[in-house]
Amino acid sequence: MKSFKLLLLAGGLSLGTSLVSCQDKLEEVVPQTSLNQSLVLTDANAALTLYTGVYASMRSYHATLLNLGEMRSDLWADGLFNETEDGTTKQLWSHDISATNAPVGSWGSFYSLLYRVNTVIKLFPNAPLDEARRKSALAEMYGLRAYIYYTMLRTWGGVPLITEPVSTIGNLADLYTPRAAPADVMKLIKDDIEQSLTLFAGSNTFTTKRVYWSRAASLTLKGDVNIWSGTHLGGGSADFTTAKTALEEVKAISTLGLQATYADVFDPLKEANNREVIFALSFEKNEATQSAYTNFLVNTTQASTLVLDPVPGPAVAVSSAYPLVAGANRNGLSSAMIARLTSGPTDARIRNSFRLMYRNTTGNPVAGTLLTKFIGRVDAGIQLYDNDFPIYRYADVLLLLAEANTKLGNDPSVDINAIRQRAYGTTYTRYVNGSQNANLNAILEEYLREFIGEGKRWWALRRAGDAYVFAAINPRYLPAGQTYKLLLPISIGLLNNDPKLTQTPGY
Amino acid sequence: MRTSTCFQCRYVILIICWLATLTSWAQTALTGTVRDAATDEPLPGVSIVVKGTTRGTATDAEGNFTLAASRGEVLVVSFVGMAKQEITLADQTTLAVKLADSKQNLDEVVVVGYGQQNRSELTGSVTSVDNTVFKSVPRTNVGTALQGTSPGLRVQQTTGQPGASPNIVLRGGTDYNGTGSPLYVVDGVVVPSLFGINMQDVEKIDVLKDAGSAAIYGSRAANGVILVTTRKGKAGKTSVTYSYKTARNYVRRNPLDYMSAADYIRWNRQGLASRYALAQLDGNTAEMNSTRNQLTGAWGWATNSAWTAPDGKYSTQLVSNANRRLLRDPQYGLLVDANPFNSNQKDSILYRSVSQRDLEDLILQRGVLNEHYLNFSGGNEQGNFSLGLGSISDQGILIGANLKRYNLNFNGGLNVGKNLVIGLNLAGYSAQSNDAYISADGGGGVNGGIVQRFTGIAPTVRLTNDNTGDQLPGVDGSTLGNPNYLRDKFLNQTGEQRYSGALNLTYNILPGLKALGQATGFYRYTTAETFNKAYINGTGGALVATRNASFTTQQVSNYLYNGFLQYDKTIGKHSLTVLAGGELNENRVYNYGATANLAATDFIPYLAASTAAVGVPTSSFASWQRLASAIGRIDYRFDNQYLLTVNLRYDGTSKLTNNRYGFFPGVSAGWNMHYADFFANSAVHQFISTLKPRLSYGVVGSIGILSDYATVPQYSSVGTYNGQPGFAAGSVTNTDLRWERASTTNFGLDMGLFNNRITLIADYYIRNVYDKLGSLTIPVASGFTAYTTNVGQLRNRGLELEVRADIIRPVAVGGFSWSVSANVSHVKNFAVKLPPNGLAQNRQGASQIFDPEQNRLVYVGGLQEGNRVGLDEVYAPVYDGLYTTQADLDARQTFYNSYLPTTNKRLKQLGDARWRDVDKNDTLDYRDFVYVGRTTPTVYGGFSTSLGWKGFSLFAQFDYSLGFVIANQQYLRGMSQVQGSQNGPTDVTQTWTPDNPNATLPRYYWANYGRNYFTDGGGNATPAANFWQKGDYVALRELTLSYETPSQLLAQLSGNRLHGLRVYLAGSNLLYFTGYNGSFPEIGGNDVGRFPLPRTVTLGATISL
Repeated sequence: MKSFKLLLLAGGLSLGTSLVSCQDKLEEVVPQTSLNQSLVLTDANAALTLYTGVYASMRSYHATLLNLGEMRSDLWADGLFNETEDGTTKQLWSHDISATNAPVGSWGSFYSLLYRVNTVIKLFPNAPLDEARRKSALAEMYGLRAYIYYTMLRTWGGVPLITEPVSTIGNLADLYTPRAAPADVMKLIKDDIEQSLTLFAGSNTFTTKRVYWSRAASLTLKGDVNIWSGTHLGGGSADFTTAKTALEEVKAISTLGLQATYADVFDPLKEANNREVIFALSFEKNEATQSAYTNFLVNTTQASTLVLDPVPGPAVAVSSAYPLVAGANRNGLSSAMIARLTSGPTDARIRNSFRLMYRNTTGNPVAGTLLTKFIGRVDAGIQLYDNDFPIYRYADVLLLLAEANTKLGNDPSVDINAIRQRAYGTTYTRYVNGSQNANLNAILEEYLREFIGEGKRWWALRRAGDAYVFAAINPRYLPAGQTYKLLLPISIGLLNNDPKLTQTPGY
Repeated sequence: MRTSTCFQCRYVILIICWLATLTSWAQTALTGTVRDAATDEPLPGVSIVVKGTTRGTATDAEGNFTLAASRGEVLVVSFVGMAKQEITLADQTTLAVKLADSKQNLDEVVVVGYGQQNRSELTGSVTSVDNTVFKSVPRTNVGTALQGTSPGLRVQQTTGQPGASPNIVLRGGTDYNGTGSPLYVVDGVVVPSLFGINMQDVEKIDVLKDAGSAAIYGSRAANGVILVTTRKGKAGKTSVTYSYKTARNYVRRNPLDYMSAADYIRWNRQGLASRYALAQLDGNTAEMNSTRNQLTGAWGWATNSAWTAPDGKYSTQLVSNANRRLLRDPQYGLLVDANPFNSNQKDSILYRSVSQRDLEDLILQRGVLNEHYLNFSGGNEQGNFSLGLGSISDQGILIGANLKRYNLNFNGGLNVGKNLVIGLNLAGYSAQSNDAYISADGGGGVNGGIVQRFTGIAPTVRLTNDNTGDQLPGVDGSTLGNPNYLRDKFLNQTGEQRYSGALNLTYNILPGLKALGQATGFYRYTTAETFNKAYINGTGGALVATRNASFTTQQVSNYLYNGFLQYDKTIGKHSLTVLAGGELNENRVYNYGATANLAATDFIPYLAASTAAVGVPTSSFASWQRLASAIGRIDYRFDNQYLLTVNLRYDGTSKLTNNRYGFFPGVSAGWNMHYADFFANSAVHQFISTLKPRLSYGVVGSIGILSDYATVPQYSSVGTYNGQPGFAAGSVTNTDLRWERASTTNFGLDMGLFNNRITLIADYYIRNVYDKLGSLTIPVASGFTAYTTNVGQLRNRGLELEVRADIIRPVAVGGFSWSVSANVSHVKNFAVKLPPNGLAQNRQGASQIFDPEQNRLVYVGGLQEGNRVGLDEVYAPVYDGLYTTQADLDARQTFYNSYLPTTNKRLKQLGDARWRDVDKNDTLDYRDFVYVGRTTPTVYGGFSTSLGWKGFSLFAQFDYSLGFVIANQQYLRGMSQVQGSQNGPTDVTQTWTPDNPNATLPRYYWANYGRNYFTDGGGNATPAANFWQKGDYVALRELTLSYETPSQLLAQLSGNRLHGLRVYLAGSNLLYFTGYNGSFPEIGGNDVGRFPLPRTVTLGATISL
């Protein structure tokens, strides 16, 4: 029995020690490949990962920005293409939009990005960064937040305003958020822009690659936003003047200007100190490459049966000119749009934006277009789609300024001509100041040609005014008077899941 | 830790070792023999224990034993697979015991958690898998043996890839979506899956189903426990067994017939005409032109001028002076077809054609399987051992898919002194598998992989040069390319090694008291390597010489230590066993990987030859978790009649933060009514020989769906931006998560009729999953779409029935016998409670349709509080016939189809589907969807029959699943031509045309323009209800004819050198009885073209020396 007692003793001892060690054993297990809030608040480098995380996240919104800013315009409507249609973009350009068929669901997922922006805005005041870095990072975040809400305002009108990151989920009813009035969204946008400009404290510096928000970006956005609020929210000439002042300030920044050669703006090998770029989303080998234009390209089977430049010849098979490009030809330009863009004096922007693909049959009819502006380059035996995607560039500033001047009744021709000169060369046709309507149409023509694939044409039409939208869009798709269709509805699913949400007016 | 006890097993082991010097005491000797009741042959290795003591022994090779025992004591004689006997000793000094085979009765030995029990003592719901299915069919994954043999388990094979693990779900699963993987325990080692285990090493598989029995595994047992026991050595003469299987895997062809090349060309042109006509009605000239242009586009049926080259991708071409000679070329056929846009013009079209069978033969092959297995086993008073060595190689029927595996399994038992028993299990395998050269099912997306895409490729495809006959690369470098060219271009190999070991110590401290200790662990290394040789990306395409090479390596280590004290006591008719102890488990996963490219040649398929890195190589400590537990069990029996088992477990986990610990008790009781005097004396006893009602209740836990750090708020990598690392929160974290708790109430009945000739095991259960861990949909404006909470309750309710009957029992050894067995399972899942979200019934993921009975919109599907779980429900629009007359069209002139791609959505043509307007609002939209069915079966099970005579036996095993729906995407994507160039089934020729006005299939449009088959153009939407099929099937899973030479005959013939010889011919996966028109009916939902299971025919032999 002695051994039995001993066993009990040993058992008791081991039990006692294990009581303590057990808890320790469980607490030892901590995440090994992630950071947390307390690290962010104690280490500057950890904090900066959240700042970079915002940009890395924003990069994935490329296709959304393209769809929202361009695909509802006349540019890609009724296009020629070789495969079956791209249903997503067709819905947009044919305005096949209704309450039961709402495109761009879940607010374009922008709230996920806003959460990340809001997290930086909340944590950085307490993070151990040096003061200058903290301020510039926060200045960028306020600028980005304004840009995101501006994109949402232009798309849906009033949207829920969220400026704090949610930390815990208590009662769900507290999380339901109604849509704010458009004027309140606009107020937040303008406040954020001012906050951003204050924090930038007059510094116009750029990083080598201009892939971060900057003071120039905040100023350009300020111009863009004020033309909008002047046109659509009753701001009138006060807002246009604010826009003009901001844009002139950007125009005067010495490190900015037009690239002499249009193609250089987008060249992935000329991204460093690209003087035309104000803010672009970065795409790089081994980081992330573009995929937003897959359906603007061509598949390998089609490519072997299509040719480039049959006139004057010799024709080159698409598959030999672009042997490694793969994708699908599901978006294109209509014959009328092709004629509009390719007839007349040679416009450097057109040849550097897309190529026409022709059938290999007699007469070589046009089969479709190949968007080459963002086609990247051949690298290591693959097609590397590493062009940056500009959000704002100097050409925007010139055309926005022309818009502001037009709306103020001033002569916009100097800025329009700056754009034209680069496009057509020294023999370009000078634009001469005309009526406000003529001026705006001239500006819109430059938007059409300058920004193919950059997500700008629809916004430009909208900013010009509703009449310009209805004039441009085929009334089969968007009959005049269907003003409510200029904003998008939200999905039944979204309405089902949030009792405080209401449908966009008119749907 | 406030109340938990956690044992550190190393202390226990130390103590056990130290105590090993204790001695035992002796008594007067009893001798005896144990024989097999059926064959009268001596049984070696039978365990004989004096009940309530530690005294015991095992029989020797001749079945003899000697044991010290005295009058009045009870001997327990037991042997795995045989019915246990208890014998009360009188004054005898010799004893002759006969043990009967327990395979088909209620007296089998059942392995339960941390021990084993006789079924007659068992109170929980435990299924022992009939090991007949282990014997003949070669199984590259042990999980397949469970299919149709274990009531309560839904086992679905999803692919014909050799070695693949089937989906296994117990009793409807504890997740809302009907999933949840059981815990797999092999010889006490918790393993992540049954992959790699050699079927031939397996002696027994038991499934713990109810919480009453599974509670001993506590937190991980909510989805049941599958216990695999491998072969142990038996005392007696050392035996050597060798078995060999050789099998042929026969191709299972697609039951769909595709169109001939001529029909394919004709019908696609017809489809264009339909599209053109609809665009014309819409007044859309752009669409009309684009459609007209397709006639010479880059499709397989189009007369593209590029196809006239002798190496064009397709061969379709118009007759011209340049190619007129081809009219005499036997490779070419001629089709004269009206031009779809100009009916006065006849087009003469030349084409080469390749048959569906030829195309299938390019990706499918007859495979060969070979399996060798060698087992050495034996034992004596000092111990026992069993060593199994196996190898298997299996070639799948999809070219490139194969598996090679080597296995080792060792079980040793060593008696050290009289009181210490050391058991050691060592097991390992090395498996090398290759995937088909291109993904079989395209990752499950509806676009499909090579099975769907290549078998449906245009029959006009040109795979060889017209003039030279040389192989061409084909249409592209992936699913449409020529397999003759591509099959050796993409190397994709996975290797896996797992080494596991378990050390078990049993020390008898005092009579009735013993200490048990166990240390187990395994390491698993998985390495996946890929290499792309340089290849031409389709005929005439670019040479892709990137030569990507990649590898990923995963290391998993898992350790488990436990220690127990067990106390057995019998006083009179009361018998008690108490077990208590603790356990610590740790699991770690490390991942490594890199990709590089630009090697100089194809000859070195490793990163070693690459010259540039692609991306950043990775290494990570990807997963880490610990579980600390206190475990207890009490078994109480009174007079073998009243049975009570209590299982207790207290678990703490590293996955939770604020609510780390959970207590999981299980109680089960049974009553062996047939031992009761009133029953034994009643007339009923003549018919009912065994009757045992059982009742159990238990609570088990689950945190399976949580990742390791689910309760720790963290920022993780979201990519590199401009050279800088970016991090962000991926979710909003709930630090208050608790254990999910599944309580099961199980009503069971074991019944034996007519001297146990018919046995029946029935179970009815209600499982409530409380504090259900689940995803709550939260407002999008929060920045997240979902949040994990524990506020919910799921209920599974189901019934299981298993019947085994010896219809004819052999009257003598070798006599004729016939037995059958059958089982059926049924389960329904209910969302009893859902996290409050302010919506009616707290619904999540539900959609709205119009209910004509209530005359209003209702929410269906998804999760709705109080309703059956509807996540597997399918809703789709339905059509009632076609528009066949102008009057039909006129009658619905204003009917609006919101899914049409046309600007005018009121357009319709003759032959279009006449959609049902359920809500009578003259519009087709989501509200008009109707209920189609569920994608998970509601009833499933299996049945088998076994005939025996003089060593011959014929065995057949079937399994079935009923009550689910399936959509054959191979069929539908052809009918809708959503991929443009694909061939379609011959049903396309049965679609409506003006010449075929009585057709019932809607008009064929190129690229589904009329939206008759899917509501979208790309075929990603749910197909119309009319095209969902019932998946109901019965599979003839195994049919085996075997001959086992009677041992006496064998002994005579071989001069006592051979002890066993069995030869057999077995067929597996032979036949599906089903109305489904695809090749793989086993899984509901979208069948995108799976890698089919081969029909396998095996010839095998087993020899024992």
